[in-house]
Amino acid sequence: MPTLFAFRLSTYLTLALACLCVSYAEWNVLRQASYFGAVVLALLGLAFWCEGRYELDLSAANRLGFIIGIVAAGWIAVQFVNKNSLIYTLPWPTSLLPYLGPLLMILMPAKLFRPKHTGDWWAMQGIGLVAAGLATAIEDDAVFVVLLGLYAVAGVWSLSLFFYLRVGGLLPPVPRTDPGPMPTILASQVQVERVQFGGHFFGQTLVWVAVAVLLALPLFFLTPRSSAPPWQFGKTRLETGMTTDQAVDLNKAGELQVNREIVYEVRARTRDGSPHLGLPGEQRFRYYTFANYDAGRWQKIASTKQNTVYARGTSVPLEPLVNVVPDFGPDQLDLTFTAKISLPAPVLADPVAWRVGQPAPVSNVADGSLWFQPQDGFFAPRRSTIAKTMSPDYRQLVAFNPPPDRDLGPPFELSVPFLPAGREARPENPLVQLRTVRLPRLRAWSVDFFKRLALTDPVIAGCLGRAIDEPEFQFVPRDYEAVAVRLAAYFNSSADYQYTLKLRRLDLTVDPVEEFLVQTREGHCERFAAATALILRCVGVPTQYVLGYKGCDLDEAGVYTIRQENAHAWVDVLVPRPAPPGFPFAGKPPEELDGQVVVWHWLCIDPTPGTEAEAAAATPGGLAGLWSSAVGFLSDFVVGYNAERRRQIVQSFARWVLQGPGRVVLLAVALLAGLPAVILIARARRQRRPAVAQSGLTWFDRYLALVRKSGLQADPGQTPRESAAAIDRALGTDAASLLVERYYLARFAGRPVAADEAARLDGLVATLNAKLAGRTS
Amino acid sequence: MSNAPTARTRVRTTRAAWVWVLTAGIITVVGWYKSINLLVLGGYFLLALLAVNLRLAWRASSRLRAVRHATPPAFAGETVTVTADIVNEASFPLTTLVTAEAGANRSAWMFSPLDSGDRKTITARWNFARRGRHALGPLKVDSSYPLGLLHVERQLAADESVLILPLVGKIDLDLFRYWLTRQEAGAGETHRPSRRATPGNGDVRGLRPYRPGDSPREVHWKTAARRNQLFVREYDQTEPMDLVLIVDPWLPAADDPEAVRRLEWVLSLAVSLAVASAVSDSPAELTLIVPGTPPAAFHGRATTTFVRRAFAALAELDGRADVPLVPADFVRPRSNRAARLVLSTRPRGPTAQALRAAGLTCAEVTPDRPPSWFTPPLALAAKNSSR
Repeated sequence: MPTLFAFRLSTYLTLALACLCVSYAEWNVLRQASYFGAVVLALLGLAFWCEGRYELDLSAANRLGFIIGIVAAGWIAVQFVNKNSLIYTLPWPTSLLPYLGPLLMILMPAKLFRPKHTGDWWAMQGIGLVAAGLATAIEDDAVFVVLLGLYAVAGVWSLSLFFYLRVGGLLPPVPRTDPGPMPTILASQVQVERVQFGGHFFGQTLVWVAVAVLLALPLFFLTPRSSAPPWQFGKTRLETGMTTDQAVDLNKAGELQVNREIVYEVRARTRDGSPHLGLPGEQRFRYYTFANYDAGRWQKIASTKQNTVYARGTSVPLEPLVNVVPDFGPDQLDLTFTAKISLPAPVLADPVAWRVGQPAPVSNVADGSLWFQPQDGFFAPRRSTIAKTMSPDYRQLVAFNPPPDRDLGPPFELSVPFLPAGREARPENPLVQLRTVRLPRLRAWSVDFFKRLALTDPVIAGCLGRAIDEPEFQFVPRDYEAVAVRLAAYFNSSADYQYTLKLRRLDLTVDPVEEFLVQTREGHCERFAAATALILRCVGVPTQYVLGYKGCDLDEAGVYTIRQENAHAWVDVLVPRPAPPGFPFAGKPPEELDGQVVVWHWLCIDPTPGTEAEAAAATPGGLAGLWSSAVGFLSDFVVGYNAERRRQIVQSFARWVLQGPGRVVLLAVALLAGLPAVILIARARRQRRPAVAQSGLTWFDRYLALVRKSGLQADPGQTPRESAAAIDRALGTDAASLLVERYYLARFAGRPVAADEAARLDGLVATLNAKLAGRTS
Repeated sequence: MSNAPTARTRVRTTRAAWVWVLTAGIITVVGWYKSINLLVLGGYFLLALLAVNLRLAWRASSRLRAVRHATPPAFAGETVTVTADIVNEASFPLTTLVTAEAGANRSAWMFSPLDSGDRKTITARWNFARRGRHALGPLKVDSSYPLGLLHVERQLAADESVLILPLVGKIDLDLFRYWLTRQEAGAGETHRPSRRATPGNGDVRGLRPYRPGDSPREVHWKTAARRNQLFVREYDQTEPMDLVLIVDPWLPAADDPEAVRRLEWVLSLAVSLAVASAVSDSPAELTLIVPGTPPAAFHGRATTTFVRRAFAALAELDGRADVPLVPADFVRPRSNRAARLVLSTRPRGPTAQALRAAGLTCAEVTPDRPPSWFTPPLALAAKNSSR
C-alpha cells in the first residue's frame, strides 16, 4: 500500500509540472503568466510542506478565493484597458486563452490549502489536465513535449496512488455520498514490506504509460487530418509556410519547423499545349506584399486608388470578362494552379506578366472568367466567382524575360510624379508608404553601411558620389537598381550574416531588424528580406516586402508541387528604366529622369543566402545526436504530422508491403502474435468454465466434482449434510453422508484423515460413482 | 464451502470515467479540428489509459477464487464470524477489493496486493438482530485497478445463509428452581429437587464431624470449641434439573404485531432456559419438543453445542393459528424425571390442558404472566443502555 506521503508527492509533482508546461508555453506569448507560474510553484511547495500541518478552514478558504477572484478580475480589466495587450493584438476570443493560464494556475494552491476530500483531489487533477491542454494549444516544441511527457507520467503515477488510497478508505470521501464499508487492507507479507517505499508503483506507471502511448500512436497516425485551417496561436508561422492568419511578426523566436505539406500543384504547358518541364527550380510564386512596417511587424494595407503606385490607365482592361487570353509571344507558358490547402489568397508565378491593353493573364479554369487587377500589379479573382475559402483551379499565362532581366516585372507609369524622399507633397503619396522607416538608428546605420561597402565596391562608391543629402541622404533614382542588386549580393555572400531556421531574440526592446543586423547576424529569409527592404528605404529607395514560395518539385507525371517548406520572402524594389519604344503612355506627360523618359518596374531581389549555417556541420553524435533524432521524429511524425505526411507513410507502407520484405515480416508478426492470442483465448475459455469448489481434501474434491457432474449439487442455502442426505435418499446409499460427516470432522473438528482412511474414502467415492453411473444408464 | 459460481462479469463505470471520456473526446475533437497534433495524441492517450484500466481490472477480477467456510448457527445479537479463503490463481500479484454483505452488514477487504498463489482468509464479524435464516450475500470481487475509473465486478462465491437463533435473555436459575418446585411440573407429585450432601458450595444442610480430607475452611470453629471436636459444614447440592420444554407457537390468523412479539418472547425464553442450563455448574438433560406433524423432539445434555444444534429448530419456527397438539404419549417417555414446561403464547393453551388431561403435570409459562426469573432480551438491552 503506498504511503500518504508518496501520494501527496506525486500529486504535487503533477500539478507543478502542469504549471511548468503553462509557464513555458506562455513565455513567448504572455511573459507575465510565466513569472506568475514561478510564484505558483513556490506556493505549491509551501502547500506541500503545510499539508497535514496547517489548513485553512472553509470560511477562510472562501475568503481567500474571493480575494483571488477580485485580483484576477482586476488583472483582466487592466488587460482590456491596455491597448497593447494580447486582447487587441490577437483575434477574439482566442486572445483570452493566454489569460486562462494564470487563472488555472492560481486555482491549484487555492484549493490545496483547504481540507480536501476525494472530490477535491479529482478536481486538482482536472485543473492540471486543463492547464496542460491549454499549454499544448500554445506551444509544441521539443522541450515542451518533454515537459508534457513528464506531466503525463507524473499524472498517471499520481492517479494510481490515488486509486490505492481511495479504495483503501484512507482519504476522506466526498461528503454526502456513501463510501461503502471501510475495507480491511490485506497483503502478502513480502509485498507489505516492499510497497511501503513506493518504488515499484512508479515502475508500473512507466509500463502503463508506455502501453497507452503504444495504443494511442497508431490511432493518431491513422486518423485522417482535418481540412480546417491549422491552429497557429502564438506561433506566428514558426514553421515554414503560409497560414490563414497571415502576419509577419519578426519578434517571434524559436526553431522553425519544416513543413512539407503540399500547397499547390502546378501544370505547365507551352503555347502548343505540350507539357513544359523546364520551369526553373528557383521559380518564385508570389502570395502577399507588405508595405507597412512597424515594431517588428509587416502589415498588409488594402490597396486603394490613392495609395497604389500604378498609374490609372496603366493596367489591363476590365472588359471582356471571360474566355479571352493575352498574347505574350511564342515563349508564353500556360500554368494551371490547383490548391491543396485552403489559403485566403492565391499564388502567382513571379514576376507576374501583363501588358497594358491586353486581357488579364489569370482566369478561372472552370468558367474562363478573368481575374481583375486591383492596380497594385497583382491579380485577384472576382468575388462573385470564387467560394469564400477555397479558390478554384485557375490558369496564369506567363512570359519570362530573358536573363539578366528575369526578375524584372512589367513596365508601368507611376500614379504620382516622382519626388525624392522627404519631398513628397502628401503623406498619403504612395512613394511615402514605400519609403517609410520609423527606425532612426537604422537610417544612420544604413548610410554608414553603404559608406563602408563603397570602400570595396566601386559601383557603390559611384552611387554614393551621386547621392543627395537634402532633405535626407538618399540615392538618386538611376542608382536604385544598382544599389539594390549589390545589397542583395552582399547578403547572399557575406560571411557576416548566416542563414538559420533557429530564430533568436536576445533583446525584445530592440527592433528585430536592428537586432538582426547588429547583434544576432543570423536568421531566415524573412529577416534578410526585411533588413534589405528597410535598408533600401533608409536611403530613399522605394521597396515592398513580398511573401511567397520559391522552388517547386517536379514529379514523374509532370506536375510541379509547391510545398510549405518552399515559403520564402524577398523584396520588390521600384526601379526606373528607359521607356521601351512604343510604350503606351496614359496621356499625361511621360516621366523624365536625368533627361530620359522612363518607366518603372518592380525588380525582385532575393538577399537570402542559399544554405543553412548548420548544414555544413557534421551530424552530432552521442546524446546530442539522439536528441536531434528525437526532435526530428517529433517534428515529422507528431507535431508536424499532417495529411501529406500521412499520405507518404501510407504510400511507403504500401510499397514496403507490396514490393519490399513487408509481406514476409507481416506474416511472421501475425504468426508470432497469433500463437499467444490462441493460448490466451484457450485459457480464457478454460477459466470461464465453472470451477469446482476446492476443499483441500482430494477425496472430497472428487466427491464434489462427481456431485456437480451429476447435477445433484446442493441447493442454495442447503448445508452439505442436507445435500448428502438427499443424495443418499435418491441413490439408496449412505456413501455421501459418510463422506460429508468425515469431511466435517476433518475440517472443523481437527481430525485429519490418515492415509489408509483416505483410501477407504476413495472407495466410497467410487461406490457413489458407480451408483450414479447405474442411475444414468 | 461453496462452488465457484458462473456469474457474469459486469463492468461498472464511475462518474469520473464519464468525465474522463468526455474530456478525452473534447480534447481529441478540438485537436483534430485545429490540427493541434499533441492534443489529438493526448486525447487518444487518455482513452488508451481507460483501456489499460479495463484490461488490468478485468484480469485482476478473473484470477481470484474464493472458498467460503460454513457458518455455524448463532444467537441473535451475537457476533457472527463469517470467513472465506481468497486465493490468487494468477501468475502475478493482484490488487483488488472483495466485498460481502448480508442485509445491513457490509464488509470489504482490499488486497494490496495478493501474491501469486497466496491464500488469505477474510473474516467478517456481523450482527443479526432477528432470528431466522439470513442470507449471506455473494462474495464479490470489485476490481478497478490501477486507476479506479472502471470497475469490473464478478461474483466469487454464491450466496450462503446463516441460521440465527432467538435472542437470549437472562435466567435466574435459583429463582427458577424455586419457582419450579412450587409448580406441579413433575411426574405425578410435586417435584422436589432431590438433595444430597456435599462438602462443596450450596445451601448449608448442617454440621458433621470432621473427616480426613475435608477442607479446613469448612470447619465450624464455634461448634468445635464448644464440643471440643472438629465439625465441618455440610451443604445441599441439588441434582441437575432435567427439563422438557414444549413450545406452543400459536399466532392468530390475522396479522398482529403484539402476537408476534409474544411469540418472540416465548422462543427467547426457550433458548434462554437452554443456555442458562448449559452454562450452569450442573448442566441438565434437556428436551425440546416442537409441535408439528409429527412433532420434533431434540434431546441431549445441555451443552452450548447441543443448544445451538437442537434449538436451530426455533430459528425458523413460524407461529400459526392451527398448532397441532403434542400427543401426551410423545411427551411421557421423554420426561420421566424431568420438569415439563409448556412455553405458550396464549394463556391456558390446549397443549398444557391436553397434557394435564392425560395425567402429565406440567407448568405453563406465557407472556401474560412473565416469571420473575426471566429477563427478556429487550428489557436487558434497555437496562444495559440506561447504564
